Parts: sequence; structure tokens; C-alpha cells
Amino acid sequence: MTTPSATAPTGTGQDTGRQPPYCRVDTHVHPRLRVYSAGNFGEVAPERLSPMSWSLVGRPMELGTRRFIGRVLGRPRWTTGSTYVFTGYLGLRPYHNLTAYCHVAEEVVLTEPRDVTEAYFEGVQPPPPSDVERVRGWRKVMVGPRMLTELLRLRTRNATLEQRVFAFEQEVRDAAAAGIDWRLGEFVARGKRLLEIAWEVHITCTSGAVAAEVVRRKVTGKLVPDAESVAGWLREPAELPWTRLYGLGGMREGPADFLDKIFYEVADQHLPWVEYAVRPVAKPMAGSGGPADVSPREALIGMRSALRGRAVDASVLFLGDMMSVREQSKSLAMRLLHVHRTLARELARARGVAHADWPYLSMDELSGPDLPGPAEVERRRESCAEALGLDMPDYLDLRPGAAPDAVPRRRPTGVSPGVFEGVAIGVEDMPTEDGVVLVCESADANIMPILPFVGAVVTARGSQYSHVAILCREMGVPAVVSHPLASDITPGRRVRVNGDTGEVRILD
Amino acid sequence: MKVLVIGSTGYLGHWVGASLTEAGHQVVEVSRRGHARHGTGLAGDVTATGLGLGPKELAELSDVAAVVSCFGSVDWDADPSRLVNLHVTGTRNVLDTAAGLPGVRRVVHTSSLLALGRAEGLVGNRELAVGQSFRNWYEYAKYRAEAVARRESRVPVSIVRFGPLLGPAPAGLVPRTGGPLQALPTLLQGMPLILERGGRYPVYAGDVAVAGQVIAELATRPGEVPEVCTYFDPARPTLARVLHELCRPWNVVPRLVEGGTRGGGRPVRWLQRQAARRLGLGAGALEYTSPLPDLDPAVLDTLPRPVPAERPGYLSATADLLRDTRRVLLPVDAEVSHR
Repeated sequence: MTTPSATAPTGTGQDTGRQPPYCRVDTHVHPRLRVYSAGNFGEVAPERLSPMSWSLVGRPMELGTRRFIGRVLGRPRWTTGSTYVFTGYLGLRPYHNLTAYCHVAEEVVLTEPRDVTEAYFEGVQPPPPSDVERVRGWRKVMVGPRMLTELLRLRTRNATLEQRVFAFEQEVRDAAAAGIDWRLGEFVARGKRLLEIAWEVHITCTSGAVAAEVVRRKVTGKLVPDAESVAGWLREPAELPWTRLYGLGGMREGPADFLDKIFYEVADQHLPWVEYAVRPVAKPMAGSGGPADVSPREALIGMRSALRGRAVDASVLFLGDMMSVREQSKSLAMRLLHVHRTLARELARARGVAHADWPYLSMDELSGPDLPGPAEVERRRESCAEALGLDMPDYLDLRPGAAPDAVPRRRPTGVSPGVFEGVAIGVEDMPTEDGVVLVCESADANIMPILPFVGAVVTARGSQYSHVAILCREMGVPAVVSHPLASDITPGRRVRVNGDTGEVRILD
Repeated sequence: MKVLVIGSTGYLGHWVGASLTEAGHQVVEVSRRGHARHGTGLAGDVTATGLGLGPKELAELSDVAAVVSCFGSVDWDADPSRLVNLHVTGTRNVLDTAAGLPGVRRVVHTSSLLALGRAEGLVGNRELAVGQSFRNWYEYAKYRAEAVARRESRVPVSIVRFGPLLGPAPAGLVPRTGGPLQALPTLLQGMPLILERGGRYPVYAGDVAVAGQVIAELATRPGEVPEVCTYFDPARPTLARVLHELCRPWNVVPRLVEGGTRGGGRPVRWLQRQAARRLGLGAGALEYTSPLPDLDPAVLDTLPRPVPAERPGYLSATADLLRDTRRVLLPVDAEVSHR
């Protein structure tokens, strides 16, 4: 597989504007798959990433996705080449290629582009189909079985990966204490391979969850009366690994170390990157303790005949398992990124790169033979400073003739079931009374501290598998995402939120 | 004593209000429309925080000493999310509101024996989660609501469970769903009803007026009251008897047919169910053609004494009332139109 290039579009400085390239370190825009969306990146990752972090997030994610999609679709030509296909780094902002993912959804049996946008891209209207080659004949028949094979071995792959990550963390930590220089090359190579696997597992689960959700929807739709009404409750088991990781918090310099750090950004000691970083305030789930009630899934089993009950149960658990592995693999990727903080720093020191300069290099450059000189770093620094002044939207339609500022309409979705009525507060406010509704533009892990004290959440952005949606489901807080009213509701107003139907009403 | 009754305009709520007023207590009634039958009325919504009451109304409730929660929907075929939200969110809101009222020293939560679903073995007051499965979302909603009430620690909660309640009341209040009355249209048209053991098993029916008095007693009795208790008619009328009594005012003898048992002869049972469905009995009601859980006879011992006696003939009087007021029973095709 050709390694995608990540650097140096020919134009620099004067090219920055509304059209790409926006920055010297931008990836090339794909010639045929040209609609990008920040999607889940827009909620959990910093709005801008340093080139070093992109090389540890975007590049391995791209390679992992290519491997996975290649295996499922029989390695079509459009998934190869030196241009990034599934991800993009434009104006220092990480993007997913929406057209590419929608195209994959069209190729996989049962799924449709709409399922992808509902799950991860705020329910926007899918972009027009691309004209890249379609899978046909026998290969098309095999897409479903291949996808299933991939999904069924995920749990094992993730478990193996976790062991390798744990060993890697320990070895780097020990070597850093005893003198790491002579093992830097080995660690960089191992870290690169592990990151590729972690992101590959993550993307496989992410894609698999879309298919699993469709299967779950079809099975319950067929076998359960009022399936739409109960859909929001049928999500098990717990999706987040944080509680388990916090259990390791007592271990000094252990795997839970990364929880105190910034996610996605390895240059978390450097300006300007630290200003964009989102610090996760993950805490063990206070709301999930106590005796466990019989879950709606378990209740549903008895309401159907034995065979139907088992079919519904299996479809729900399959989806839940997918989501659980997805979150666990992400936590492994974050742990690996945390190790790379040490590696990048030590590598820069060993290679004589100034501490302030390494965030502008990729890991391949920092560890490879073609180390950019100080002049190139300076040019990148200037170009990045300019790009940071640009407003990079969530949604980029770069097709010829497309309106540059077009913002697709998002579809309001109830993502965590339940009904609640209360007084609205903003994300900066601390709830002072019971029964408040958190209303914000977009919520990520930073809402964790106040989540146990709010009765419902409404956001202007987000989708079924957004971080906020997962958190709210985990804590049993009703939530509606992508609701246009979220921008209009001012703190102090009384609102009613229905997390089952996605309805939000202002009452006063 | 001032008692707040939530769901006061319902079938059971009516009798709770009546019993409390008769005993000389002051009743504040919360219902969706704010109607008052026995005391002062307040318009509220159990699915809203603070029951949808304003600060002024809540301030006026500061001297309430007990809260009775007897709201709910007994429609087995209602939308699942609406049912569960109503019971679970509603119970949470009632408890939150009660905990916020300074004078409240007890909450009485009305639960149902159906919260036990298809529990196996002998079940008492202590049991709630016994690995049971549920027939419908109503049972699950009642189970979750009782679980919420059992976990409450801010204010003492007394839980009382009932089976199907019957007996005269203002005609408009008698629910036609969620109990033996659901089978009445089928039986009155001469259709057979296939029941396990021909319906010779108890359904734990009770007199709604006695249920109202039990709740009133639990709410107002000084000193200790049981945390969980159960009321049903100690005569334990069987389903067959209840159906006979209900059909009597129409001079109809219900055609009860002995059917296959759960766990045995599955194909036969399946065929019977298909036949019953073709004859017009709803899928929800069909689930109740087999016995309810076995209740420990000692569950009645925890009720506050003395327990009032049931009104004679309360079963057939329910049907009398429906016949005399010409209240339209559910049409045979109601199930079809619901779906």
C-alpha cells in the first residue's frame, strides 16, 4: 500500500483562503470524493491539531481504514494511492471524508448512506453518490460475509492489542527512566504499528456499529411491536471503559495516566495547540451505581416468543458489543498517544530538533532520514499561524460549483431515552437547583462534572454515537442532539425534553 | 392531616380521596385538569419537575404531611416509551417533590402485582426482582416504578400492591383496559375464551373502595407502617368467577374453555392463541389467560388492621354500572384499530 502523503501542497501563504490548500501541511483533497465533515472528530478531537498529532491520528487511521475497507470490498482501486481517501487534514482541522464513507455504506449489504450520517454526522443529508468504481459480481456477494468475519474477530483483536499496549507503555516508561536513546528507533516502529492497529480496530467497530444498528433496527422492527418507541433503550452493555480505567487510577504511572491528559493532542505543552485542546474530565459513573434493574432488553425477551426473544437479544447485544469495543479501542489509541508524548520529546532531543519545533513535524519526519530543516519548520509555523486565523467549518463541500458556505440541515435526534422538564442552563453554569436542562452548542467529555446534576441535555450538534450521547445513555440522562432550538434557548427558560422522540419544547 | 393525592381523578384516586375526606383529613388533589372531587384541586403534570406546580403552589403545600401517588395508565397496549416514562419519571418526580416538602413524613406509592411479571415460585412482599419475565411494557413500567420507590432514602415510602381492582365508582372512571374487563366484549358476544385450567386460578382481584381505604390508612396512620404490603380480596376469587360475575348483569354465561398449559403442548397452545385472536381477544389480554404468580398467603398479614371488608357483590356491581350507564365497552376490533 502506498503511504499517503501528508505534506507540502505546492502553494503556500497566498493560497490560504476559502479554497484548499488552506495550509502548508494540508493533505490533498481527494479528486473525486470531495465532501468532508468533521463528524465525530468535531466533538471529541480538538478543533485544530498539530501536524505531529495528525501524523499519529489521521495517518494511522487512514491506513487502518484502508486495510479494513480493502478486505471487505476486495481492495478496489479507489482505496489506494497517495491521496488521503477516508480522512483529511485541512486548515489544521481533522476531517472524515463523508463521500467515501457514504460510498462504503452503499456497497455493504443492508446499510445506506443515511445510516452513516445518522450515526456519526448529525443526520445531515448524505452527499450525492460518487462516481468511483462499484463492487460487482462475486465480490459484491462476499461483502456481507467479509464484514461479518471482520466484526466477529474484533473482541479478540482488541484484547490482544490491549496486552501489547500495556507492555509497550511499561517498556517505554522503564526505558525513559534508564536511558531511552538506544531503543528510540524500536519504540517508534512499534508505536507506529500499534497505532495503526488501534485505529483500525476503532474504525472497524465504528463501521460495524452502523451495520449492527441497521441489523438491530430491522430485527426489532420485524419482531417487536412499537419498535421505534423502544429503540432508544436497547443499548447494552455499558459503552464506556472509563469506570474500569479509573479502577486502575491507584496504580502509580499506570495505564490510567492518560486520563489526566488532553485527548488527541500530543503537543499539549506547546502553544498554540494547547489552546485548542479539550481536556477530558472523565470520572467514574456516579449515576450508574446501585442495584441494577432488569433492563428493557431483558424485559423485552419475555414479551416475545423464545425464538423471537433470542433474535432481538442477539441483535441488541451485538450492537452493544460493537460500541463497547469501539470505545475501548479508542481508549487504547489515547493511551498510545500518551506514550508518544514521551517518544516525540525524546526523539526531538536525540535528533537535535528544538523543543518548540517538533509539533510542526510528522512522526515519520522526526524519525526518518529526511528531517526538515529549521527554515522549513519556520515556513510551516507561519503557514499554520495563518491557517489558525481561518474559520474551518464542520462541513466542507469541495465539489466544483458547490456553494462554499452551504451548511446542511441537521436532523434532531433523541439519543438517550426519557422525558424531562426543567430550567435551561449553559455549559459554563453550575447547576444550583435540581431539575435543570443543560443546553449547549456541542458537548464533549467536559460536561462530565455537571452531568450527574442535570436532568436532560439538548445540544445543537451531535449524533447517535456522539460522545455526549454515549455519556448520557451511560448515566440515564435524557438527551436530544442536533436540535435547532438549542441555539435559541437561553439560560433560565423552561424546556421539556423527550429523549425518545427527539422533541424539545420551550414552555415559557 | 393534609394529604396530597396525585392522580386523584382516577378510579383508585377517587376512592383514596373519598376515604381520606370521610376520615376527616384535608385533601389536596393533583390531576392533569385540576378537578377536585373531595378537596382542593391543583392542575399538575407528573412528568414535569415539581409536578409542574409553581413556587406559590408548592409553598402552599408546605404543611402537607403525607403524599399518595396513585397516578398511572393501565392501558397495556399504550406506546411503550410513554408508559415507562409516565410511571418511572412520574414516580421520580413525585418522590423528588415530596422530599422537597418540609412537612412530609410519608409517601404511599401504589404498585401492582403485575410488577412481578411471570415470577416463578412463591412470592411475598419482600420480592421485586426475582428473575421474572414480563408480558408487556405496563408490567415493566410498574416494576421500574416500584424499584425507584424502594430506593428512595430521603423520605419514608410505603408501597402497596394491588391486583385488578373492581367495584362501583363514577362510571367514567372505571377503566375498560388492563384487567378482566378487557375480555368482556368477547364474552358478551358469546365467543369462547380459552384459559389455562378453565380460569380456575386466583387473579387477586380486590374492591377498589377497600383499596382506597388501605391507602388512606397507610398515609395517615401514626407510627410505623409496613414498607411493602399487598391487598386483594381474601376470598381469592378465581378468574372464572370474576368473569361469571361480570357477565351476570347481561344474563350471559361466559364460555370459558380449558386450554393448554404454559410449557406443555406448545403447538396446541399456539393454535389456541391464534384461534382466540381470530375471535377478537387482543394480544395483550391473551397473555393473561395463564395464572399470575403464586402469592404467599401471608402477604395480607402486613396490611394495617383492621382491613375493611369488601362490599358484597362488588364484582357484578361493576358490570351493573357499565350496563346501566350504557357505557360502551371496547368494540371487538379495538385491538386492530390500536395497532
